[in-house]
Amino acid sequence: MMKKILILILTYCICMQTSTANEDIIEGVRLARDNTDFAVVISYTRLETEKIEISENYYEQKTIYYADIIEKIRGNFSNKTSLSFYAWSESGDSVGLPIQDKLIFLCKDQDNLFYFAGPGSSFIADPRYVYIAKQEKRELTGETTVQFCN
Amino acid sequence: MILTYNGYAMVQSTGHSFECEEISLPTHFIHSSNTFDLYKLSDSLYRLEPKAKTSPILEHLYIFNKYEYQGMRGISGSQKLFQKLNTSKKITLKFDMNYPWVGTAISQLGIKEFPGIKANPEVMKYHKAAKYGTNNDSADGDAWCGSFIAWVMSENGFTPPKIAVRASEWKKFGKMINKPIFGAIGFKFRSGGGHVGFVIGQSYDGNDLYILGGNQGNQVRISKYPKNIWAAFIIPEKVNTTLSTLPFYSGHSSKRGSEA
Repeated sequence: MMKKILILILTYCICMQTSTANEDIIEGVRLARDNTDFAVVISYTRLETEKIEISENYYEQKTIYYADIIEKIRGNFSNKTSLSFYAWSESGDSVGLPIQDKLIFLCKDQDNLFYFAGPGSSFIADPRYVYIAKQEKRELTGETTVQFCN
Repeated sequence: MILTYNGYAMVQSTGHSFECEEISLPTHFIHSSNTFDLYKLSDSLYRLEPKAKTSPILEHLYIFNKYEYQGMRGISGSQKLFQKLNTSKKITLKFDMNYPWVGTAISQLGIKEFPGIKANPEVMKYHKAAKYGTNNDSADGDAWCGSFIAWVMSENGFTPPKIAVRASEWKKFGKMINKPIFGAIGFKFRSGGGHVGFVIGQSYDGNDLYILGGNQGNQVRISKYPKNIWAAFIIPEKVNTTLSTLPFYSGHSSKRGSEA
């Protein structure tokens, strides 16, 4: 009996933790959706990195990711079945290629190239998150406006 | 509490006072132009107080050894008193500390993200403070510099901005100031993110800043950056910056973004 109670308490605690974490992620998906114009589910294929001189003898790291498109969610990707986008990071920071399919949010620069919308713009391609990404954007207010692309 | 990092003694703040015992790592220090009054409390206990009531200096990085005080460039008046300290075993430093969060940040030096899918719980606590839902410490290229600032500021009673994991969100925190000062949050812009860290010093020529931040080479560390790449400096709203300065830094750092 005691053992069952302990298992129930443990299960409840785990569920509560999962629930809390998911709420943070769900709100993150909403914010990324509300503040970007492009959303897509992808499967990463490869990446390239290069160092770009930003200031005299100061470099930052530009990584170009290549991926197959699994599902187009928002924005015009025309007839593409694959895409590439770039992301900036500190020089020397490690970069990796995610194994799982991802729901990502992108921006476009003045040269019409996609770039990663930054921290809080990449999520596991969980159907719940994809569903939220497909929903209409909320009307942006002071609370929900975030500088994702600028 | 005394922390050591790469051969430097660092004394963590405990509220508004600092206590040093048996400091024995004399090689480097961060100096200020402040002067100090020294009070002998007993044969083995001294109190050192800055004359400026609001001292922004890296007091907790001053380093003493058992025999003499090293450096103290620009100090007048009190320097002789320091020389009398050569037998002291314990020094109590008491300051009107304006930027206690820097001590918190210093306590995290050396925390690294784990490679691959493993997550360092120390980095995950930063993400938790930023209310950023993730199961990985640096998942999918997500930087954690903003989360690090969120944890440090939360530990010091400040509420981070809504999406603290994003560096640019920190521009909404506190007030913008027009020049870097000790303890300010520096913001560096780039498309799709940016970088944030605490300003803790400058180079002697004034062309570089020393930034204590998270996710600098995949870890918390002090790095040297060109001054001209920083777009904004932010400080909590209620902090009085009237007497704030930026000390020269001569301690250990990595040089960020250099091909050298």
